Amino acid sequence: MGERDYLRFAIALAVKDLTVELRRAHELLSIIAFAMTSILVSSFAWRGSLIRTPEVLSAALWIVIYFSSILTLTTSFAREVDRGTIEGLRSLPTPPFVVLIGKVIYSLVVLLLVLLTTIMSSIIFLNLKVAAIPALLVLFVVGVMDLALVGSVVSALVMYSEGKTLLLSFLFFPVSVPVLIPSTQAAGRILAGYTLMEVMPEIQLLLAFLLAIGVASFLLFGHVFQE
Amino acid sequence: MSQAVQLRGVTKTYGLLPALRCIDLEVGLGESIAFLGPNGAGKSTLLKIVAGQISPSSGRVQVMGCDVQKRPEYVKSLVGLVGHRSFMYDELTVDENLRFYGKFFSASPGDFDRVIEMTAMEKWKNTKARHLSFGLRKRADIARAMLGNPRVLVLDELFSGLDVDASELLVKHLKSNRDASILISSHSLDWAKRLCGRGVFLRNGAIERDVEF
Repeated sequence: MGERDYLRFAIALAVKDLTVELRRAHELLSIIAFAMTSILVSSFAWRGSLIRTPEVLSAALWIVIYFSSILTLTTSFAREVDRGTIEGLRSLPTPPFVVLIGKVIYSLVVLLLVLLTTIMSSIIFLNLKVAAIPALLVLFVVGVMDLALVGSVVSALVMYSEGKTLLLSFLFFPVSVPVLIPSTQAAGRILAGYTLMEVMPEIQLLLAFLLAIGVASFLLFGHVFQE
Repeated sequence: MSQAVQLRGVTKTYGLLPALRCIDLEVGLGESIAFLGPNGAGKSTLLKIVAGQISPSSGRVQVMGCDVQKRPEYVKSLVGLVGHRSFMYDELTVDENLRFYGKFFSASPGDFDRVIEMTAMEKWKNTKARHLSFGLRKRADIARAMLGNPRVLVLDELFSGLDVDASELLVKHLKSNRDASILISSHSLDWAKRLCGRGVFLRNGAIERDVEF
């Protein structure tokens, strides 16, 4: 069994999760509705000069993405435990980290959908500058990859706990701080007119964090996944 | 190699609570064996250890000559597991569920038809799992476990919640599959005798009796 098989298995797991998600679309729709209404409410509150303040707009966008990722990741492993299908995943002849990669790909796709909704809504309701979107997209995609990986690991850590939703919310924040600090600062600078190259140190930091968490997950996820 | 499954000095403790105490057991190729005993006797724990779902606290488990702890992925590819709860996804049809799991067990296109036919699930293969009765779901789970021609079938609480007709049908389907060794746990001695040639009675995590039926 080689790396290509592992990737094929991870994609099969992600496709399964997305199919399940789309057939019970109320959860995905509620996350997208949350993202859209948050932007809409922000536009009501910040009519006037404040909406052009890059730092405030950056914070608004990341708050929406952060809370959407909590909503997405809460169900990631918890649903498998609640339905008993986690044993099915554990019976698969594949290393545990392949299951994690599958969950990360699924979370990433859902969060990218939320991200697109958020950006589209922001263009309409918060006068987000279209010129800033390519650089913002690069930043957000890397940040969302970080959140999807960290969130999936935390979701797996708390999957057998009684109050998993509450625990995820509490545990997810401290491990997300290394993502949120550079991301919000970089987004603010992009919105203030900086180029992508000028925020490259922050993006490199996000990529380094992704690599570090990726290696740690690869080494430790087997213990988390075992009953 | 004459043994499908071999356990040597297997113990399992949850915290301070012993679930299995020094189990020594051999299951022959093609043999069907039932684990019987009261709740908490250690039946499910034993089956989960054989299937590589949990690790023993001590001792050695081999499936088809391979150590479960050293080569867990390979052993899992040899074992078809039906758990206490169904592994089927409610939102997917039986066929979609089988095709999802089949990707991991190198199932050939003909495999899907074979397992569907073997468990008489043709009529329900396009039905979503959430619409299946308990018995049908169990049959769908057995079909899934048979994908990729496993050498060992591990079936936890096989007859629980099933009526006489459904149990009868399951016994018939499983008996028609003579290639695999079958390990089941059950509370029903009668049904265990119908399917298996050997019974191992467990109590407090230890083997109390090992009898031929």
